[in-house]
Amino acid sequence: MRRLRILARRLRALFRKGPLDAALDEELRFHLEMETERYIGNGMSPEEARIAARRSFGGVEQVKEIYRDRRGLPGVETLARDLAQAVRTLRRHPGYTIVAVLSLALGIGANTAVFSLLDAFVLRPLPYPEPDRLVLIYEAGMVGGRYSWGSVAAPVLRDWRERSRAFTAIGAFAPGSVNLRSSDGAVRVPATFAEPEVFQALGVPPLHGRLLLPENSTPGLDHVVVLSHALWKDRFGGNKDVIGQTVRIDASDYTIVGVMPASFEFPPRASAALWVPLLTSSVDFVDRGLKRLSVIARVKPDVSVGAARQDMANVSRQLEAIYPNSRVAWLRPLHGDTVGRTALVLIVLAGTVGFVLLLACANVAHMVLARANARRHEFAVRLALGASRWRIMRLLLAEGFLLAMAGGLVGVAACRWALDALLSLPANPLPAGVPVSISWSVLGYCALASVLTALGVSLIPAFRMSRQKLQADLAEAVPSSRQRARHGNLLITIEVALSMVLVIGAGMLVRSLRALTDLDFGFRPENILTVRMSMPPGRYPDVTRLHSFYDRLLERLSGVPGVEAVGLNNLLPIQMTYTNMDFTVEGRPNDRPGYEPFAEHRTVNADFFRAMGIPVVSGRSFTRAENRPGSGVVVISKRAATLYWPNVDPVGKRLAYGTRPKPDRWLTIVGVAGDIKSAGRLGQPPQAILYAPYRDFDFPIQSVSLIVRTTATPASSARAVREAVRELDPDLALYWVSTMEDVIAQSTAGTRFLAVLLAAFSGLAVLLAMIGVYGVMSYVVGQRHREIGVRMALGASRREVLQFVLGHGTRRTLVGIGIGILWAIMLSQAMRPFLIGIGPVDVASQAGAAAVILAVALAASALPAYRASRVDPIEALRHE
Amino acid sequence: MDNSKSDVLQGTLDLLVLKTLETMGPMHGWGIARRLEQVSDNLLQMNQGTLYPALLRLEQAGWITSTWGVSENNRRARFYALTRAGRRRLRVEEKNWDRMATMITRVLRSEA
Repeated sequence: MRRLRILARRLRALFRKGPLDAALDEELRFHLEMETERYIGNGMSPEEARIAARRSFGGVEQVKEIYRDRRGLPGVETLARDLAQAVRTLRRHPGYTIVAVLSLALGIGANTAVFSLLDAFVLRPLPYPEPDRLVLIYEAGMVGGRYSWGSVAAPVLRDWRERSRAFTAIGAFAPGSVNLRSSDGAVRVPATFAEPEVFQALGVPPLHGRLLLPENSTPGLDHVVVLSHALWKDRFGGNKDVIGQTVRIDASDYTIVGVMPASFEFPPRASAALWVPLLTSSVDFVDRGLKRLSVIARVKPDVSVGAARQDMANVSRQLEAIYPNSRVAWLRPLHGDTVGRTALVLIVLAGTVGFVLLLACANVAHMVLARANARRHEFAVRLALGASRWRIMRLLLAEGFLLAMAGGLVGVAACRWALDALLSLPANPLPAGVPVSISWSVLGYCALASVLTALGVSLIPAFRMSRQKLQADLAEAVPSSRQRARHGNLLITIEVALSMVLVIGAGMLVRSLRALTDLDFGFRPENILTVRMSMPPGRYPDVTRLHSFYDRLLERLSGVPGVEAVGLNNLLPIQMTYTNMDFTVEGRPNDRPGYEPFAEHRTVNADFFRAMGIPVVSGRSFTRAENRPGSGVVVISKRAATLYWPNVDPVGKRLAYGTRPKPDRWLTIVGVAGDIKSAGRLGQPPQAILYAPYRDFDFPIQSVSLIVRTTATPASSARAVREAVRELDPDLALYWVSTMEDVIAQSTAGTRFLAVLLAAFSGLAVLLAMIGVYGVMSYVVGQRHREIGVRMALGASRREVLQFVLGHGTRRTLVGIGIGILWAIMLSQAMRPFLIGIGPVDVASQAGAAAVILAVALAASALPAYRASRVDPIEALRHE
Repeated sequence: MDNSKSDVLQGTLDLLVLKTLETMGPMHGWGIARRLEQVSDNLLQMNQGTLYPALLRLEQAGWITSTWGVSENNRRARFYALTRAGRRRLRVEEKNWDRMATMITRVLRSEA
C-alpha cells in the first residue's frame, strides 16, 4: 500500500518537473541564506559566511541530483527522452518513416487479420463447460482396403451405452434441416436431430424453459422442440411466452419446451436454428450395417480421455466376440474434429502472412541500419562526448519501437477492413455464422507481433552500432568498409528466399485452378439447376406412397417448358458423398474382411444420366419400366468395372449388396456409366459407383436432390420448378437451389480462396522484395562510390561497372532462389489438400517463380547499377 | 571510527527527523538541521544537504507533509509537519530503537 502511494507520488512528479525544480531551488536557497546569516551573526565576513554555509551543506548540485532521482522515476524519464529524440529523428525523415510504417502496418495488419480468423474458427474454445472432455465416437475399420471411420449404427450405439463406463453421457445426433411453417410459407431452417443425452453431455443450461428429456425419445412424446436464441429473437420476437406454444415443423405440431442462450451452438461452429428429438426407430435397431448416426460423449470428470479410449477398445473387443467383423469404436476430440479442415486453410494463410511480415521486417531493418550507418559520425561524436554505448543502442531500439508501434496501430485499424474483405471473397470456404471480431486476444497478439517486429527491425542495427570503432568513425566522415555490405547481401538472400516460397505456393494454386477449369467432371455441368427437398416425416408413411410422389413430381417437372430432362438422386454428385456400400461380385473369390469390393451407392431415376450428361459407355441406362421394386438391375461406373471386372465386359454380370448376400437378391449389371468426380476428391482418381433405380430400393429416401437440365439459363427455370412443386405439395420447402456450376464452385472454394489470397500476398511479397533489393543495391553503390571511382580511374569501362553491380545482386538472388525452392519443398505438404492435378513438388511452379524473382531482382538492381556506371571518377576521388 | 559511528546515526536519520518534528512542531529544513546539530552537540557529522532527500522520502511515504509558509525572518520557507501516520511510525521506530539499544547494551556488558 505504501509502495503504491510512493509510486503514485513519483509518477505525479514526472509531470510537474518544472515547478518542483523551482520549489527545490527556492528551498535550498533559503537554507543557505539562513546558514550564511547564522555565520555572519557569529562574526564572519559575508564572503566567509557564504563559503562556510556551503561547506556545511555539502554539494548543492549533488543533493539536487539525488533529490530529483528519488522524486521521479529516472528510468521512465530517460525512456521518454529516447522516444522524444526518436520522434524528432523520424519526423525529420517523413518519406523513410511513411514507407517503414506502411510496410510494417501491412505485415502486422495481415497477421492480425489472419490471427483473428484463427481465433474465431479454430482457437476459440467450444462454448461448452470443459470442452476438452467432449469426444465424438465413430465406427472405424477397413473399408475397401483403407482404414476409415464413419457414422454409427443404432444397435452399436446401444451396446456402447450399456457396456462403456468412462462417460457421463453418450448421445446420437444427426445434423439436417426441417421445414418450418410460418405466416409467409414454409422455410427451410438448419436443424439438428439430437437425443436428450446429447444435451446432457454438452452441459449447457437453457436460457428459458428446459432441455430435451429422456422421455422425449419415446414415439408420441417426441414432438417437442428447443429453439436457438437467434430463431427465438427473429421469429418469436424474443418473447418468453413461447414456451408451451406449438409450431408447425415438417407438417406436424411441435411444442416449444426451451430456448438456448445466444452463445450456444451445436454442432459446434455451425448454426442450427432448432433442436428436435432424434428417434432411432425399431427398424434401425435390427440392422448393424445401417450406419447413420453421429455420436458425442462426455468423459467422466475422474477419467482421462486416454482411459476412455481404452474403455471403448475393451467394449469393441467384447462386441467383436459377439458380432464377428464388427468395426471398432474410434474416439476423436470434438474440438479437433470440428476445426480440422478450416484449420488447414488458415494455417496455410497464417504461414503466408507470417512470411510477408518477415519480409517487411527485413526491409525496415535494412532501412534502420542504413540510416544508422549514415549517422555513424553523429554517434561517434556522442560517444566521444560521454554517451554510453547502451544509450546509443537505446536510441535505435526506440526508433524501431516507434516504427513498429505505429505500424501496429495502422495495422489494427486496417485489420477490420481487411477482415471484411477476406470474408466477403466470393470463394470463402470458412463456415458461415461464426462471429469474427477483434477481441482482446487478437489485440494481444497484435501487440506481441509489434514488439517482436520492433526487436526484429532494431536489434541487429543496435548491436552493430554499439560495436563501432570510435576513432575510425570520428576520423572519416564517409565510411567505406567492405564488411559493411555483408548484412545487405544476407538480406537480399533472405528476402528472395521468402518471396520465392510464396510465389511458388501461389503458382501451385493458380496451376490447380487452371487444372480445375480444364478438369473433366465426367458430366456436363452447364445448364443444370439443382434443388434439394425433404419430405416431412409421416406425410408419405410407406415407401410405395413416397416413391409414387416422386414419380408424379418427375412427371410434372418434365412437362415444365424449357426443361429438357429431370434427374433424381439421393445425394447430389460433387456436393455429397456418403454411403459406401460393401458388395459381392458373383464368381469372385472371397476377399478377406475389410478388403471386400465397395462403392458409393446412389439411387437414381431412369433420366438421371441424361439430365447429368453422364455418358453410358457400355450397355444401356435403365428404362422407366425398370424403375420398379424387384427389377434387380444396376448400372456401375467405369471405375467399378475396371476394379472388380477387370478384362471382362461387366454387362450381364451379377452383384449383390453386402458381404453375405441372400441368394435371391442378385442384381444384373445393364450398363457402365462414365466416371464422375467425387466431393472433396477432385484431385484424385474417381470412386467406384453403383447406381440403382430408386423404386428397387426398399429404403424410404426422405431427402432427394433434383437435377433439372434446361434449354435456357437454369436460373430462369427456378421459379417454374418451385411452382410445380408447390402445386403438388405446399408443405414442401425447396432449398439449396443453385446451378450446378455454383455447386462446383463451392466444392473448390478452399483452393480458390487460397489461390486468390496467396496470389495477392505473393504479389506483395515480390513488391517488398523488390524494394528491399533496390534499397540494398542503392546502399551498396553509395557505400562503394569511391571504390567504383577508383576502378574507373584505373580503366574499368562503364559496362564493366554495370556488370560488376548487377553480378553482385544476381549472385545473392540465385542463392536465395535455391534456398527458397528447398524451403518450399519442405513446406509443400501443407498445401497438398488444395492442389488439383499437380503434386506438392511442382517443377513448373518453381521454374516460373525463379524466373519471376530473377527478373524482379534484376529490375530492382538496374537503377543502382546504372547510377554506378555514371559515377564520375574525378568527382568520386575528390571526396578523399 | 568516527565515520562508522555517523553511518549508524545517518541510518536513523528518519527517526531523528520524525522525533524532532514531534517535539518542535512544524519546522523548515534549516531549522530541523540546526536542531539536530544542537541536540547532538555536533556529534552528528553530516552534510546538511543530506536532510532534503530524507525529507522527500518521508513525505513520499506519507509520514510528514509540507506547506509553504513564512519564516521567523519573514521569508518564504517550506515547513514540514508530522502526520498521524508519521506519529504512528515514530512510535514503532522508537520501540525498535529501544529494543535494539537494550540488546546491544546487554551484549556489550556481557562481553565486559
